[in-house]
Amino acid sequence: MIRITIRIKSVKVCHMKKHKNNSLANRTLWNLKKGESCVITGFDGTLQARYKTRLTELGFRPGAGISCTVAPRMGAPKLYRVANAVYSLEKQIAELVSTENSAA
Amino acid sequence: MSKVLLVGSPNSGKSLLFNKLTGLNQKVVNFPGITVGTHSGHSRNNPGLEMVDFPGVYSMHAISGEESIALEALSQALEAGDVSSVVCVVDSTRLEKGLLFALQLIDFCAGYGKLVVIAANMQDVLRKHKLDFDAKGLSEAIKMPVVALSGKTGEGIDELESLLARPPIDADVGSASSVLDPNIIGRDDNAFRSDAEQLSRQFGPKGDLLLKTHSRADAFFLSSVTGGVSFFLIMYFLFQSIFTWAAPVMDGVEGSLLWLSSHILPHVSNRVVHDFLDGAIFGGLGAFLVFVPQIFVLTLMVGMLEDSGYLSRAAVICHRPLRAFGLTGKSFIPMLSGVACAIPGIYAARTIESPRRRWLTYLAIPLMPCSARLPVYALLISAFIPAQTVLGGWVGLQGLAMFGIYLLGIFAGLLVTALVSFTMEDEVDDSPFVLEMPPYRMPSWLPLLRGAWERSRHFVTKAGPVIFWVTMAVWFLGYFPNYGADLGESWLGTMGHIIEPVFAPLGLDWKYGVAILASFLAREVFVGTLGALFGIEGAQDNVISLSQQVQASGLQISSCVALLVFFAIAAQCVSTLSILAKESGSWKLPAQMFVGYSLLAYVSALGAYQLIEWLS
Repeated sequence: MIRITIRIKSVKVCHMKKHKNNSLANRTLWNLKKGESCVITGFDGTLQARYKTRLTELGFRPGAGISCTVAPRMGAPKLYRVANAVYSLEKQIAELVSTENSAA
Repeated sequence: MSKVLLVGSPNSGKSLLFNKLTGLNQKVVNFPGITVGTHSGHSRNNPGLEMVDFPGVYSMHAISGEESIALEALSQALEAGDVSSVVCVVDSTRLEKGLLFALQLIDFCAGYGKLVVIAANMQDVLRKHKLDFDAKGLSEAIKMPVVALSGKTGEGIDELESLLARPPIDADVGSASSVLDPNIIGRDDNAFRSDAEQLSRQFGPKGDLLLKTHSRADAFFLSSVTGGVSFFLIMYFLFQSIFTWAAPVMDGVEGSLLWLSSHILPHVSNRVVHDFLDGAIFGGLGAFLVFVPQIFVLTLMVGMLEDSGYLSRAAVICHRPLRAFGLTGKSFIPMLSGVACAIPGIYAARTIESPRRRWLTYLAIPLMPCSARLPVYALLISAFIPAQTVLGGWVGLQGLAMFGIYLLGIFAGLLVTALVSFTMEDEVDDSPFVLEMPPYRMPSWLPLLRGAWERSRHFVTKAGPVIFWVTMAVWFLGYFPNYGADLGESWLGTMGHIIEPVFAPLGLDWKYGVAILASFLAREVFVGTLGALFGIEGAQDNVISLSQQVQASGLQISSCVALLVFFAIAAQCVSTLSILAKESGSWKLPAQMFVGYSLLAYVSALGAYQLIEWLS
């Protein structure tokens, strides 16, 4: 019983450490600011399969490099450049795309 | 007769290529998803070939109604067996996206034994920016014909035509899959994605000069401050231009009608024929024709915005505000199309994936200030607002009034959708906003002018017969039995007095009541009917006279505003309601809209009338 508790605590600590060391850890596409780049790592499980497929077809696939070209204020959709095209995504869907630092 | 199918991703330039190949004038717009049905025409240089333009699709996995329709139509066309070639149009400046679909399409068509010709479009843009495209290398890699061309300049069109004119390229093949690269056929989508990326990197243009240029423009047009200001100014300029640019042509049409009437009427000795030409033809039909230049200018300006690539940015700007009313940024384009005519607007709403937001957009479109309302607004504004400018000549009062009445229609549409959205149950499956930003382009003026001309011609030929017959009926009923001696004692006058109590609370006499009733066939009939009625009473044969006659009829400013409000809201278009029934799958929605908007229009007009009367 005691050992299990220790393990859980250990995992939590590791996770927190990682988060502390890398400011872009657990970030989503929506967190990207104008001029920033990232690499897509996956999609949130709540994203419907057909939208996941469509995003992938548009180039938003795990491993793809993405940059934010325009990030208007007041929650307006942001513009993302993927390959040689630019798409506008609103917060509701951009939040479901996981990313990591492009340097990683 | 064999068919050539033109397919490709949205905004890849299919329609432009279709126009080049057929010599037709299919609407071309720099916005993804504007072709919403198949269009066909004979090849200009190969009359034995029928070219079919399909709506753009991103992949062979449809997620919107528009894509489902396109893919179903494609399957049916391939099954019919009279297809000689399939041409996949790809935008060479965005090769990876186009190639992904092209590879899926090659795989799909192989099942029908058809080869696919890749038309690598937009070569003029690449050449302008000194970017290279290796068509030969790509062709060898995918073992398919690849033609580098430009639908805009015509470069490479001859090569494509000669390729299509040959006997079907798969005639002696039996099954296309037998000659296709086994590396392409039967692969899964992940493999296609990797292939598209690799092929694009290997054979496509290098560098991102285009995207950098567009990013700078996007930073301006989508900034929180400059984006909002430029959006407002562009919309304002659009409505100002309707009056200022069209005025000289309107004067020309009016002068021509006056010249015609002054040369024809003195030679007509028969009194009834003379009065008929004077009242029904020059007074009724002539009054309507004077407003056609305004429709031309409106269509031209909307087309210019569409062609420039700005509309997608406007959709992004509008997304958040429209969300508050239950709509989406994608509703902006159907609504703006509705400013020219509600019917293309309703078709354009197919691009909205969310059924809920599409349905709400349907509700808003008939309230957009369409071009059929324009003659009514222009008549009433010119009757009551002086043609003066303020702020050093930059702001015309009539244009400002037009802008205001257009805003009223838009506001009414948003209010209705907000109310309905508030009462609707939340939809679990609400499609998110994902929109491709097309490149900025200088508008192609020739197709735009042709399009505006076609739209104006279509407006006249479609509305003309209705206006003609209604004007005839109104003139006949108003002229007899006393030969125009007293309009109030005519058959029309007798009928008008019966319905007068309905419109009396708005300060309108029976003549306006008759014109409103007639306008339920088509809004623009209102002007022609009033023209015929005042013509019988001896009005001059031109629009300025008609506006003066409106003033002289004793119409008060309160009644004028009530009329404007009524026309801004009432759903008086049989064609729009029919198309809506077709698109929504039943007559329930159009019937509800007709009754609801008519009542809302009357109550709002009554409220506006009472308010102004109380204030004055």
